[in-house]
Amino acid sequence: MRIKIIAALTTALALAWPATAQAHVSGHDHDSIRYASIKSCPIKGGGARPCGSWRLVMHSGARSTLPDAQTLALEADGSTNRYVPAPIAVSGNGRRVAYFTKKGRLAVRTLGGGVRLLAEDALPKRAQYEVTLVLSDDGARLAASPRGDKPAGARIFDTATGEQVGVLPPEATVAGFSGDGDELLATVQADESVTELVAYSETGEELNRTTPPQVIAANLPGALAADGRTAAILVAGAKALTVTYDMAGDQLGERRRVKLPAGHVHMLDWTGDHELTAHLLSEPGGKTRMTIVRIDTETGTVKLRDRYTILPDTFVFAACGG
Amino acid sequence: MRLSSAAAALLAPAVIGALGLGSVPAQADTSATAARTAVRAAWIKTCYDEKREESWPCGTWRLLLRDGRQVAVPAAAARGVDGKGRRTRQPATFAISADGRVLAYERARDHRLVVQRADGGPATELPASARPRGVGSDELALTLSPSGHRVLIDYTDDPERLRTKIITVATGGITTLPAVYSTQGFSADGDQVLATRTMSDNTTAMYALRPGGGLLKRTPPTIVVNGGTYALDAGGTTVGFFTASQDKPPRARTYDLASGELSAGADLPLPADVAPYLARWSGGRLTTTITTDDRSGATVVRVLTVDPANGAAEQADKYTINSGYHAYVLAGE
Repeated sequence: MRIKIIAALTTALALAWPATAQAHVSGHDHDSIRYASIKSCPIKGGGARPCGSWRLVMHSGARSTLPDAQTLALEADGSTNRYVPAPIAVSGNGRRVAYFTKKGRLAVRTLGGGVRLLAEDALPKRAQYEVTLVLSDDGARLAASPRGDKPAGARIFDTATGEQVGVLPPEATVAGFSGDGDELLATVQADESVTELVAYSETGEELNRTTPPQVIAANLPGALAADGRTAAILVAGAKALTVTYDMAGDQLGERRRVKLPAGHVHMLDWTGDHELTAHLLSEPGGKTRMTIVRIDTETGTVKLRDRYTILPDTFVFAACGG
Repeated sequence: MRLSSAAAALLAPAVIGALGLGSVPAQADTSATAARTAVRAAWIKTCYDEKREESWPCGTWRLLLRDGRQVAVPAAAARGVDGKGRRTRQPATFAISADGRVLAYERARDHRLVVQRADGGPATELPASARPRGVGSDELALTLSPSGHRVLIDYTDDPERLRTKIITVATGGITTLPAVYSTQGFSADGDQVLATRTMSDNTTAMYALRPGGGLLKRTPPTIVVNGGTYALDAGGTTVGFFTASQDKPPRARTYDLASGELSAGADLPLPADVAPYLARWSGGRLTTTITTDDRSGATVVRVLTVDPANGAAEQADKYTINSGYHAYVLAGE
């Protein structure tokens, strides 16, 4: 999940759909989640805080809520922090969502399916806002990273069984899953102020470790392809370009100029052998607008996949990926 | 320039005895004398206003000489001015060449930028345009070349508007650099300027710029870009720099702008938490300055020369800037 704080002052769109399986509000079997959002409420004397339930906004435009999800983050001692939301993640395909339940358990919910609760001791004790959740594109894997002052290694879970399949070293910061979801891309702060790029298998085995050239290092987090060795970055803006990088051979691929709609890179995923999907975030006229494009890394062709405006009363949102 | 911490500002100013008032008389310039009279640093006292609960620089800038003496510079303004010419509570601009021979400062009576030899003599006015209208003292960043014959001025108010100036002191001749460059200091001979520039792909390119024309450009590895302090050699190709690590000693490295070659690097005989500062070339060795604040609010300054090939280091100088300072400036800063 990449979280984005939005200053939103507009009034609430107070429409809470019935929860759980009724997420299929539109009746389409293939409806999926665009993003999860939590409302912003003003604080007396200035500022804002998250309030209400997590809302799931679907591609069809329908909305539902996650009534069993923790909204305000709990501190490590169990008390509530009223100013920070608990984490949430939406899978790339928008079919699964990971979160803390109100009872403090990590959970993964499948649209139209059930909820898989992870073990009570799935994570070391941390404030919930110190935990970062990332789901793979297909939602089959969850990476839960306890960061904060005492970062622990990211735990990788099978979301179907709830079993832990691997742990990354504590120094690795998860950037995301590979296109096929069975490897992870991570960054490591190495000696001499250098960032290393590391590919791990889902079991935590180090596959490729390299100190990438500046053009990669300056545009991370980037994305890892299904082969577990090809990383890509996207530079947005007037001189937008994609660059691929073979981590195993420490070889830069071609710099390919692309024409992108407005926005900065919010998320980047490999969604095919030669295809990147980019979430671009822009703020035209005070709105928060997401534009999702598919980029052919061979030809540089850019196709619009989706475009939407985030609910204006949003405090924070988590978008689906790919 | 470094400002003291707020805590240090609350301490009673140290008693400074036997201050020289005025400049050192001119004398036979033997190299031994020259070394003794070289300026290590300059500092200015702090005063505290209890009613306003703030401190400001007071008294005059004082030079710390290599031979241990202190010399006041009453001609230099203590407090700066804002863009409208009103006196502020911030220190005025003050700079010392790396060789400790030349000063640059704001003249007390009119805040004109001037350059003067540290051992006295007349001050040379920099062209009036060195300080464009509306630029306050704290929006000027002034650096002298290692031997003090050139001045580089960056304007921090609005980088898009004001170009960096390089002024040859003797002639008053000015060349400017486009605002896209971030300057990193002069080459050892003062004839070139090391600069970085952020490119459209978010990488940082490094340049050796020859004022008036000519440049050498390269996109170095991240390890070079993340170094904190750089020195360009007199040839204008080799960049010496230092890197810092979490649990390991700092390292000295070199990077060749012409060939792109990065040296293997050598550990310095220093603890892991020490951050080398003020890299410069002196002969084939790299010089760095390490500053440590002690509990009393004084600052201990150590100057090391380092062989970048093997990390062998020698202490070239060590001195203390006593507590009670509001700000200090090191030679070459």
